[in-house]
Formats: sequence, C-alpha cells, structure tokens
Amino acid sequence: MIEPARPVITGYTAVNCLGTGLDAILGALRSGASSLRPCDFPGADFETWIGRVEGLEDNPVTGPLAVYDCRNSRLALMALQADDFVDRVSDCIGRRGARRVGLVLGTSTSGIQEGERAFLERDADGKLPDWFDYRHSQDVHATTEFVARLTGIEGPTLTVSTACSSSAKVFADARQLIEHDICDAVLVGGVDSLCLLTLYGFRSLELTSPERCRPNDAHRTGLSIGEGGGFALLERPGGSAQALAVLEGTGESSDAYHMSSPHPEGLGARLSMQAALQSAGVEPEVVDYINLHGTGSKVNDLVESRAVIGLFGRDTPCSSTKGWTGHTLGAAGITEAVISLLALREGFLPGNLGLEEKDPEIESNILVQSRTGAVRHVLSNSFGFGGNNCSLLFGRSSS
Amino acid sequence: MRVWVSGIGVSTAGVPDWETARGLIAGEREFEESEYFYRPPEMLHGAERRRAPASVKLALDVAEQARAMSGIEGAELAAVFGSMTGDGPIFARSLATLAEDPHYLSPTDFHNSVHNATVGYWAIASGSRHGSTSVTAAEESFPAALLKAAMQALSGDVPVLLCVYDVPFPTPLDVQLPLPAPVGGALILHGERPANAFACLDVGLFDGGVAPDEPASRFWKQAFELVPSARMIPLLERLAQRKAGEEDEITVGAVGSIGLAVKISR
Repeated sequence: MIEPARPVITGYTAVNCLGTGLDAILGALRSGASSLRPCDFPGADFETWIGRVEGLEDNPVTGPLAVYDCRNSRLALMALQADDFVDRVSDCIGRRGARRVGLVLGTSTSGIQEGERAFLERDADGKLPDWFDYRHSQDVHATTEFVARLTGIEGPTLTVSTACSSSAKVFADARQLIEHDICDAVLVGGVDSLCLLTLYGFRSLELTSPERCRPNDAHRTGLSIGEGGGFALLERPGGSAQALAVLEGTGESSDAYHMSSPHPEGLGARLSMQAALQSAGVEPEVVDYINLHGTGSKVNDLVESRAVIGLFGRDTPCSSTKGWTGHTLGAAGITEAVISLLALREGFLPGNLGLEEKDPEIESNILVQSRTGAVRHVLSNSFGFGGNNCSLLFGRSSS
Repeated sequence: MRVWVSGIGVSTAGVPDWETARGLIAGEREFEESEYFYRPPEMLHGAERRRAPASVKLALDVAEQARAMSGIEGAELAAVFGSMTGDGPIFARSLATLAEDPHYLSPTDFHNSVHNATVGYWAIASGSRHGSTSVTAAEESFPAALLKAAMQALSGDVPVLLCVYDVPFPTPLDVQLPLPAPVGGALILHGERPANAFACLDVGLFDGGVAPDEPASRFWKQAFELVPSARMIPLLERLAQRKAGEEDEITVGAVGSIGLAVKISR
C-alpha cells in the first residue's frame, strides 16, 4: 500500500435549484429558503416536489460542441460558467499542462432525456427520429466528453456512474490519480438532470414524496428529486494556486445486501465513514459536522442515523441539506461536497431544512436550525443503489 | 504501475470461457460461429437469478471465472466494473414504457437500470463489502477501467476484480450502437505479487499515440472493432501466449487524449 495523497482544493462551484454559484447557494442556506416546488416537469404527471434549475430550456449548447446539446450538457455548461469556473480550469491547465490535468465526473442518467424524447417520436415502423444522437447525449460518458472538449483537458478522463454516490466517488479517483503521479490536478464533479426515468422510477419504488421532502422528520414521506451540477479542482499540494481546503480522507464500501434498500444496520454506511477517517488518520472526535445522505426516505434516514451513532456517538452535529436542493442523485456527491466546503469556509453549520418533528428513532444530533461555530473537519456521506457508499472528509487548509 | 494477474475470465459468442480462448489463440481449437448464450448466474438465488438482466449474467459469468482461477474468496476483493452500454435491453424497454404509459415503469427495471447494477449484484453475490465502482469512457471504457483498477490495486489493501462488459442494444436503439455480440472480460489484479501470479502487468501512460494494438486472431476482429469491452482481447492474447522471461508491450487505447500502454511479463 502506498501513502494516501492529500490533494488541496483550489476551486469549487455548483448550480442547483438554489441558484447559480456559491453566493446564491450560501445565501439560500443562510436564509433558510428552499427552492423546491410542486412538480412542473413536462411529462411527469403525478404529485411530487422537485428541485428544478431555471433557464436550461433557453440555453442550448451552440457552436462547435452543439452536437452534445441536451439538458445534462446544458447543466454542465451552466455549472462551468458559474463563478467563472471555466477560467479557473484554464488557469490550472496553464500552470500544470493539459496532459497533467485529469477529469472525473459522476452522473447517473446523463442525457437520457434525449432518448425519452426520441421514443415519443418513433415512426410507424418503430424507428427513432434522425435527430437523435445516442452517442453524444444519452451515453453515460457524453457529458464528461463534452466537458473535456470544452475545457481542453487532455489527461485521463472517465465517468463514474454508481447512482447516488457517483459524484462523491470522483474525489477518491482524483486522489488516486495524484497519488500515482498520473496527474498533478484533476477536475472532478458531477451533473445529473431531471428526466422521466428517474422521476417515474423513484415513484415506482414508492420513494417520491407528495410534499416537500423532510429528511429525518417523524412524518417524512420520501424524496424530492432535484437536478444539479458542480465542480471542484483538486491539485497536488505545493502548487501556486491558493489552497481553499484539503481532501483529508475518502472512504468507499459496498453493502452487499440489496439493490435498492440499504443494509438495515447501516453496516456499509459505517464502513465507508470509518474508511474515510482511517485514510485521513484521524479519530471520529475531530469531525465537527456531518452532511448526511439524508434522502427523506423512511429507511435511509433511520439506517444512516444508526451508522452515525455507531461510529460517532450521539453528539456530532449532522444534517441533511436535501430540504434545500432535493436529491440530485448522481450530482448529490458534488452538491453536498460544495455545501461542506462552504461550511468549512464560513464556520457555518446548515440546519436540517424541513424538519418539524424529529423522528424519535433517529438519535443522532440532527441540527434543526443552522448555526455558526468552529468547523475544522466536515464529513459528507453519499449512498447509492446497489449498496454503493462513499464518505469524504474535508479539512481546512493550513495555508 | 506494476500489478499482478492471478485470474482471467472471458465470454463472447463462440468463446464461452478462458480455457476455450486459450485453445483458440494457440491454434489448438477451431473457432465455431454460434449464437451467444447467457449463462444464468449461479451465484445469485431465486428471483434474482431468474430475473437477472443480460448485463448482470454476462458480467457475473466472467467475474466468477476470474475469481475461481485466482482461488480468492469474492468477499476479499474490491471491484472495478466498466462498460459503455450498461444494460441496453432495460433502457429500450424502459424508454418504450415511458413513451407509452410511464405509470407502468417497472421498479425492478428501474433499479436494474443503474450503471452499477452489475457490480451491485456482484457485491450481493460475493458478500464483498469492499469499495466497488462502475466507470465508463464510451469506446475507451476498457482503458479507463484498467487504469482505475491498477490504481485501486496499489492504493487499497485487497486485490481488485476488474470486469468489463457490453451488451448489444435491441431495436430500435441498435441503429445507434450496433454491437455484433456481447463481450465480457475480467482480471484479478494484485498490488503485491501473489503466490499464484499468472503474469505481471506494467500499466502506464504512453506518449506514442492512442491507437490500440489489434488482436492477432481473426475470429474476434469484428467484435474488437465494434464492442468497447473487446479492447481487452489483445491483452488476453498476450497473456495466453506469454512465456517465462519474455516481455511484450501493447497499447490498449486512450485515457483522455493519452495512450495507455501495458507491458506484459512473467
């Protein structure tokens, strides 16, 4: 085994229903305003709430990369333009060289909305319309390829697709790319856009909530599906760019239990949190805040609480922020990594928006209200279908 | 990055396993064209075995071949799965249902539609709680998965199951991605030399271009050209032919804009 790398984070941004860029997201976290809304996504004809990004319909991908145009690539583009992030990536390529910068993005459904539209337009023989281009939209790697071409990154480029843990696991991959001296910097992130497959899919599993999601609440009724995109730049320590935070540890595990239900005692969740602490070489006591996976489903929230208590006891403050963003699925990892990085930067612990009456069986220290305080280490959890778990530990930069 | 191989699995039309592949590569057997048969995954039980999607049958078949050859318990392996297609039949069926009456979307199809369904079922069947991932890079999914698996074998403390697979799309999606046959391949990779090491691989970036070396045997040339997972075949050929003291180097494709090369030795 080789010594784990501790990459520094030199930039991050995100787009979701709260808005575009860090100021909009932080503003919503501080004000406690949720942007979830009753479902108005075209074609989704049932009662639920969603986290929808404004403006995607009106901002197609144009120019030489127009072949990639689809909701997912539009969302990726919007996230890259947020906080002028694309300039940070260019600057990084300038400093490190295009072949020394890698790209690892997470998504669950990529541009499958194009496939949904195409199937509605099948002709009498069942053939798909000519405009449909699977390879550059629905293919799981399409958005990543679009981002590589847009930014000019030439280093190793891959997509992680492990459902709702996808864009958390990209941090672990980036860390390995730096550890093995394959890259000096890696652009990580994730993009997942609303589509009928996930809306009706979670409905078919009876997991969508008819109301705004209320993670950890005694009367929670399920998920609000959202969409989002986000990016972070990870670099080998010692570069000239300012280090904003450190990726202290990463942990990954599998439940080995069921495709769509978590292990009842949260064994896989506990293993991934434990592995993150172990790879950082720290004890549970150093963690000041845990950003929970906290989907709002009956089972997830309870099981995650058991796993947290098993490892951390009942004191460590924790919350789910999906009451703000909804569950952005393949983008949940990066969305909540960005929120965790804001918590570190601001000394701000977001509350568990939507919580009215805490589930008495959930015995972890759920923060009902946001508060300020010293934040030196934040742990972020992301768990996906297939029992795929990832936990990330972020710390403050010493510089 | 130096890793060791202790197990190999392969499956495609006319080549159901590694022993058959070795015989064909060595010229000891004649290739016979045949329809692909998806072996039911013995590792799964009851309804999960009966209802396993094509991608899961294929991936678990080659994964279990490689694991059995290595002699390691599945629970002791981390896993890196790679695929361009995921499960095409499930996508075609789900997209048709969404177009016709979305309220009838099958919950089982939905949770099996995730790209990591294969590795999820592998974890359930093998009992492995180690980290597992599912990656893709379209046509370059094999080089991407190999790079990730080699890093994982060296960064982690357990051997890694690398498994790549692609499943043909049914109509009408087949026009978009015409694959002649399913192809799956698997390797067990170690960061430290195991007692039963079959070969040693040095995996690294390569400045001399991204064009992959082609397979020598003619019978799987078409699969190689059209199925991303078949990018593994030239490496399998070299592994089948490797002799003590000999070295061989091939390019397996691109990771991003850079070639990925593998040096094979004993």
